[in-house]
Amino acid sequence: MTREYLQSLSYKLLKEIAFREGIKEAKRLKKEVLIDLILEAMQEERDERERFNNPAMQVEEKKYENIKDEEMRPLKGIQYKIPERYNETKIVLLLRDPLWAYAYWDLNDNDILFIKNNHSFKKLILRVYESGERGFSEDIGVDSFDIPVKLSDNRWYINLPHPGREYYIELICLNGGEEKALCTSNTVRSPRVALPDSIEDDFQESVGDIIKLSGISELHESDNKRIIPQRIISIIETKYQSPRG
Amino acid sequence: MKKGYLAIVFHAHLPFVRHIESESFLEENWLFEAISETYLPLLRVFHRLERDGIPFKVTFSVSPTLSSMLTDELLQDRYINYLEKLIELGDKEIERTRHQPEFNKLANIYRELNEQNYLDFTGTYKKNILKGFKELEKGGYLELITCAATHCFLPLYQEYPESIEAQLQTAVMSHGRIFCNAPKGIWIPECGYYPDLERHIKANNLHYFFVASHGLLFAEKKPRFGVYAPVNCPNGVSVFARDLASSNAVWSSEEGYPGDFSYREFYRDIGFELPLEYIGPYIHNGTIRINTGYKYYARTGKTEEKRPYIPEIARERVEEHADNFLYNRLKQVEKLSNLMDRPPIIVSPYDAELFGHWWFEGPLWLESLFRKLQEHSDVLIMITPSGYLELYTENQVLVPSFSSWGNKGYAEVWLNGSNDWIYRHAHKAIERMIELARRFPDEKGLKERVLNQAAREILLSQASDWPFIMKAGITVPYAEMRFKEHIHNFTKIYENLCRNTVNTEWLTKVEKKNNIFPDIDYRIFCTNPSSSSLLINSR
Repeated sequence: MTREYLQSLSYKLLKEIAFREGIKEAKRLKKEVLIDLILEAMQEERDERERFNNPAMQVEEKKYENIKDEEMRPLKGIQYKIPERYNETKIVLLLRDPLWAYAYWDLNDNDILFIKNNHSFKKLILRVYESGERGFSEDIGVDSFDIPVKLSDNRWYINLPHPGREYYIELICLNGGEEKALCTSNTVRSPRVALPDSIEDDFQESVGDIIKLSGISELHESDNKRIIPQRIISIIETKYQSPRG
Repeated sequence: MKKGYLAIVFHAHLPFVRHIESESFLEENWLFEAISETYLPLLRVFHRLERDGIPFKVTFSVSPTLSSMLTDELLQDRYINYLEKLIELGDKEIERTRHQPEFNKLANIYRELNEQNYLDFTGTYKKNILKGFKELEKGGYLELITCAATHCFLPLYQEYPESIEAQLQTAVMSHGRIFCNAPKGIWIPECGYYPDLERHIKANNLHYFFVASHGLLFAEKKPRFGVYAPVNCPNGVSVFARDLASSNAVWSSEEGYPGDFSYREFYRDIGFELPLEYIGPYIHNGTIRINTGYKYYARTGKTEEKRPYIPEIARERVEEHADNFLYNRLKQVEKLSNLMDRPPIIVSPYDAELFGHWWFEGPLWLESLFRKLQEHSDVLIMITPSGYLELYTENQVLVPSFSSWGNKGYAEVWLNGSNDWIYRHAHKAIERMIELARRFPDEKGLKERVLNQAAREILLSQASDWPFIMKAGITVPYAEMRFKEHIHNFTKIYENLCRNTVNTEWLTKVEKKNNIFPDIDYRIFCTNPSSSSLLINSR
């Protein structure tokens, strides 16, 4: 938002925007001061966002930045309706990163009715199945854990315990002492986040140095860091932030 | 002296933004700004180097949505109008700043740039700037490669191999139609890779692609040359990894070269600063302030009090930064050469729009760098990935790891609380499209037109730009509207076909509006190379 746009707004509207921006003392302030604070808060928001973006994403954002007063252009009259749901019982698992997956699901009308009319219905759970390192097809040992969800929920971010494993989920209805699996998701494989130990030929000696030059020299500082992929990527990236030094 | 190679890769992309329903549409300016500030300036740099006999080699990916817009007559004509207005604004600016010599000089420079763009666009390229890129490819300076059809972030669609296949087949077909050539490689959008993607890449006769550095470093086996040599997937497709050191030297707006205080400030544009009664005719609908490209200040530092921009000082910094980049690459090659049995290749990929649009001096920096590289061609040689693969045919075989070049290295940018709602609709639409393609394998005439439009709408809904913009918080209503528009159009077609009806008038309107990929064949949604044959081979 530009100062000019904010100046064109009523005091009441400005207070609403200020409230949205977390400016608590808005009520007692003069219009110009309020505008200053709103602009300041928005700049802080932008800076914050920028800090969380890596350089590639920062540049990509610039391609779309050609307007500051989005509010002046509400794209009125252009409303496209899309279905709210598709009346099917289904669950899908999407891998976001080595430690997080996103599940979305829906239940068809019959299943919803069944649950609502079932007096022994206790709760719905997401059961997350985890394979061993070699995947479900080869590993016998499979672990699982449950996440309780409400009938009104239809999506969930799931923290995956270990990188480098396979996962799938079931949406389960608990009725009294019985379990009924309503649907099962696809399987995802979370990627490994550490350098593999093996090298197949006699280049072993030089590989360590080349890998370091590739930007991974600080990865083995501690075991904790080894298992936080986001931190690893951030280390790699920040290592190369001072080319002009 | 030991040798190394430098592969500079540009990725040029914008989503398909074309609004026939309105005389001018704000988001079309994304394209116009990129033509004026990036694509034409880069072409001028390349042609100057060619004229001076500098043997540069660059890989250039043009996304199919961008190439479609650049060859679209409506958008070409609108770009000419856009330039005419900016030239007129330039005349007014020269007059307005006549008593402010430092600004007057800049007004003249911008006016000339707009005039030069006008002459190049209408005269040299006869409105189609892709001709310039094609000529450079013919001359051996560029290797033009493709990208997924609508820049889909592929890992989030991997459960639908038919859709991945549709993205790649359409891309290759579109590239062939526009550039009269088969692309050798592909820039996978956002470097978004998942194991198995190479199956589709190979099926479309593409020989190489790029991944983020951790895509190789965290692969199932240790890459013996790190990111400094390609590897081959087990199916023979080659993979090049991004070198972080050279990339971030240019990428970072704070610490990288573009952050230098002498360079031009992107955000101080007269479109946001001059009174409405003066600037009104040159902004959106006379009221909504937008960039005009007339920017008179230098970055200066973290202060609101900016200094006037002085091109001569910026030019000096360009030379210094080109020297610095070159120095660091030569050092890199020196270190790596002692550790490898072949010359290393440093792969430096960039969004093309960084150069000129965001970093105004970027094209000049490239020109300076390419000229300086020639002086060191005994040590560091510019090369394309296919050039390197011709020289070094034996590569380590391994499968890269799921990765992207987005924040935190995976899919979080395109899958988070602001945009995750889109996937249930996008996935359902794909399932329905596959169902339609199987139910109607041999349609002709009107029904075929309907099905082809359905395929276009699906692909357009998959653009990574929509979730990206939702996450970025810029023009969010537009991104949401676009995603909903394509799902809405597809759903309407699906429901009509289920009822065996076609609304011809509506179809014609939608075909005219979303007219991308004129030769699309909806049957691509029946193709899955896993079965090693097409479910439906031909019409």
